[in-house]
Amino acid sequence: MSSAVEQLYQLVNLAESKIHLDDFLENLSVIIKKALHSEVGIIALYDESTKELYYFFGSSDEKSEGKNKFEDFTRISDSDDLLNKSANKCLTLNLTAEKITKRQKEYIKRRFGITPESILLSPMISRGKIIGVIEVINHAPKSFYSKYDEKIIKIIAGYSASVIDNSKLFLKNISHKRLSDLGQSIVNSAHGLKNILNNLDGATYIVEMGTVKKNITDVNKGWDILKRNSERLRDLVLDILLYSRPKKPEYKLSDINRVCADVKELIEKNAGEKNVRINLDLCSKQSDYCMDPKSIYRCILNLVSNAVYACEQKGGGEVTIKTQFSDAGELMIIVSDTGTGISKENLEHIFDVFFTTKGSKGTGLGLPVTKKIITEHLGTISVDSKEGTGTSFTIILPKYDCSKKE
Amino acid sequence: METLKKILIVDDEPDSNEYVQAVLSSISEFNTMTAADGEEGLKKAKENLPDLIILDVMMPGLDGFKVFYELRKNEATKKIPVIMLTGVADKVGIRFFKDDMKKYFGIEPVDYIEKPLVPERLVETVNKVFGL
Repeated sequence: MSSAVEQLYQLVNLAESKIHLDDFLENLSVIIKKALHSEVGIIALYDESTKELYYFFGSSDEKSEGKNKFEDFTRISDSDDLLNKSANKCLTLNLTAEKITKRQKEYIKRRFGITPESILLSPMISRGKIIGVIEVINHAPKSFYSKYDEKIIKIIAGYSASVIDNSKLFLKNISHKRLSDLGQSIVNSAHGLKNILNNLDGATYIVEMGTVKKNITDVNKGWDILKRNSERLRDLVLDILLYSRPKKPEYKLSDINRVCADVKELIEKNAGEKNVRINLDLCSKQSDYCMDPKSIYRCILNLVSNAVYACEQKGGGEVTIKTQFSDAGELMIIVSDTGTGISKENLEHIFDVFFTTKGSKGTGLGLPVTKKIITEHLGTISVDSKEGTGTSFTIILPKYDCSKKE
Repeated sequence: METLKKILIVDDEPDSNEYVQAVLSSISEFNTMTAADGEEGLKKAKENLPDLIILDVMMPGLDGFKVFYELRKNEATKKIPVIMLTGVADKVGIRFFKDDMKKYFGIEPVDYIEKPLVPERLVETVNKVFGL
């Protein structure tokens, strides 16, 4: 079998396997490179919403900047007119050294570490729509791509186009993904703190304005903002301190069911106004357990507040606090809700410090603090969530002997 | 009589909205309106076609970057000047965003103002937008 046919065979196999689109594209860049005996294979995708081409994958034999794979997401600049030309005119382009401009040569050299001798590009078209462009580059002196190569690249481009087009995973709106990633990188910072400082500045400004204009309404408004935000600041700082200071639990034999009932009592009224019901499903037998009751109260309160918020976002729902003892004497506390659930992406970050999806209503410290307390109890906390259906947090605390003095 | 300039303030922090409104009131009389999240902001922008939008970046759901992107995609709102308020100084993120927006739309926000807000800076920028 010729190597081109071998690669086509690989491509078909690849498309038939269950593969993520990103992986397909990455493999595709290697396949085209091999099928056409080239040093570099490049995949660019077309974003319909912005009508622009984006680099997606590049695979190179030579290492440039220490790597031979390029995975990025940059918009193809106007200076790379070959890719854009191929896409816009739906043309297969076959260029030899004398037709490649100096600028293009320098650009390829910089990016892929080779000086191009010949370049072959073919647009990926499916159902009359442009999907992207594939490109191969050869740097062997006097090399050129034959008519046969043109046919090969057209076959690969056409086949890949329909694979990509049909793929449910096709990123319809590439730039949106990028923008949202950008937002995410910012999410992890202590954005709450700056907002509070901003509001405190605002409060002072408004009080001053009211004083100068002798306008008592403004003074009162500013004063309210001041009070509200100094309270928020206090809570946040206390959380930060709590989070950053290691603390051995102050173990005390306490009634876990009582702790859960206290949480319910505190939050019930507020939750009811938001159409959220709080249920208790408590173990019936003895419920005394050796733990730090204040800290555990804090954990359950955090989880229940989150659960109420998740239900509230959905217009209402139910939160259940369940306690249970295992045969081995471990205590299990489960807080479940019928709220919005947590997306897969967010699920990875819920215990990250300062990660919040609640905007001004969250400090991004509730879950990290909860986890810290549970860990200090030598316990575990796990989460199970389904977007749109609800979330359930499970805390397992190992048995601890309160009479044990250290 | 001249009609008042319309300014839309989009921020999920109601207290911050108050602050911005107070600072604006020190410049001149404006017809200000507020939105508590990105979606509401986008809706109000399309309905009211304000003369200026002051847009917070960090908001849950639709964040400021996405709102800006949507505004620029829409024929009716694409020319409205936007001042972005950034609660975090993610210089790299903003530079990225700036470059992209310039390339996509040939236009980027009028300015980026960091929180905590310095009133003089907002005044100066708003004056610039309205040529006051």
